[in-house]
Amino acid sequence: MRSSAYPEETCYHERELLLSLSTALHDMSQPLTSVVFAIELSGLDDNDESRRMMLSSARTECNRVLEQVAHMRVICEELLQHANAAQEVA
Amino acid sequence: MQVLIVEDDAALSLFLRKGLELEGHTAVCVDNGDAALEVAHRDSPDLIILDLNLPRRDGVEVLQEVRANSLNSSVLVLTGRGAVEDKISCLDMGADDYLLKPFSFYEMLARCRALARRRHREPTSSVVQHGILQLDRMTRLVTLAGSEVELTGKEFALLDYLLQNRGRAVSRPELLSNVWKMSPDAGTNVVDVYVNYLRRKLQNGDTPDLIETVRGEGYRIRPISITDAPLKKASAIASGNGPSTFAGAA
Repeated sequence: MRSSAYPEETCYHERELLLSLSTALHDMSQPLTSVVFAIELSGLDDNDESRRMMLSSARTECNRVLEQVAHMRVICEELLQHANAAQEVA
Repeated sequence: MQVLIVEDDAALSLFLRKGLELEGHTAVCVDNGDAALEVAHRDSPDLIILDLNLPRRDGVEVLQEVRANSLNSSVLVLTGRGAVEDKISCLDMGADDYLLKPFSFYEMLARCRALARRRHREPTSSVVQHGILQLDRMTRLVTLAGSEVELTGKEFALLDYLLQNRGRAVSRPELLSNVWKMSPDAGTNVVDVYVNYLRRKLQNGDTPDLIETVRGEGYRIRPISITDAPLKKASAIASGNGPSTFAGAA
């Protein structure tokens, strides 16, 4: 349980971070869908060049997913630091 | 099937288009809400695949406006918002189906097919709703903001034709040919006269005329915007404007 000494602005910042986490999770759904699509479509296309393009696009979209995951990891780190600080205060 | 893809993520939009085209559909892509409404009005696509997070005008507004204008397109909403409340509000606002990202291309295709089947099964409604204006072909009743508007046979046919072609300007020759069954080059101003009769009968407070003149083109039903002023009590004139009997129609 949080101490009453836990600053109000810290609570506000935590809420902001949680909101950012939720937004990042939502943003990740775009490239994730693209990866699924690119892989599925590459299986539908008989043209080798077109298939190669699709798989290349899937790799690019994987990079976008990784960027979002990295962003989410940074937010989680910060949230964890806040949680540790709160425990020390308590 | 003619499909309008409304998605601001360029990569996803491209994949959606490519996949639909591989399946034999025709797809048009736009990346914002304003363009979506423009194309929806112009092309009346069979299906609109609509992302909710869009620049300028978000997907919810697009959905509301599509339904306010009674466009007959099916709407499949794509979103990353997975809360039950989001799904319920989208379906209640008139979405025909809802897909949560990430999803499989094959699942999306199956849902498109289901929507197409549903469209074929549903009989075309006899009621046309355009914002506060409602026209019922079965009962031949026209109401404006709930108040009945008395129209002559030709006025009814003219309004019906304009509503069927909402989203585009209809030329005088086309109206002469399709509503009056006259030669398109007949030298008569009967169309202008009847449009004026209709305008007077469909007046509603200070809101702009429901029938717009498009210079050099003809007439068009004004698209209803959800940002339009709140509805005012209809001041529809029930009689005294224009001919009041079918026999009076040209």
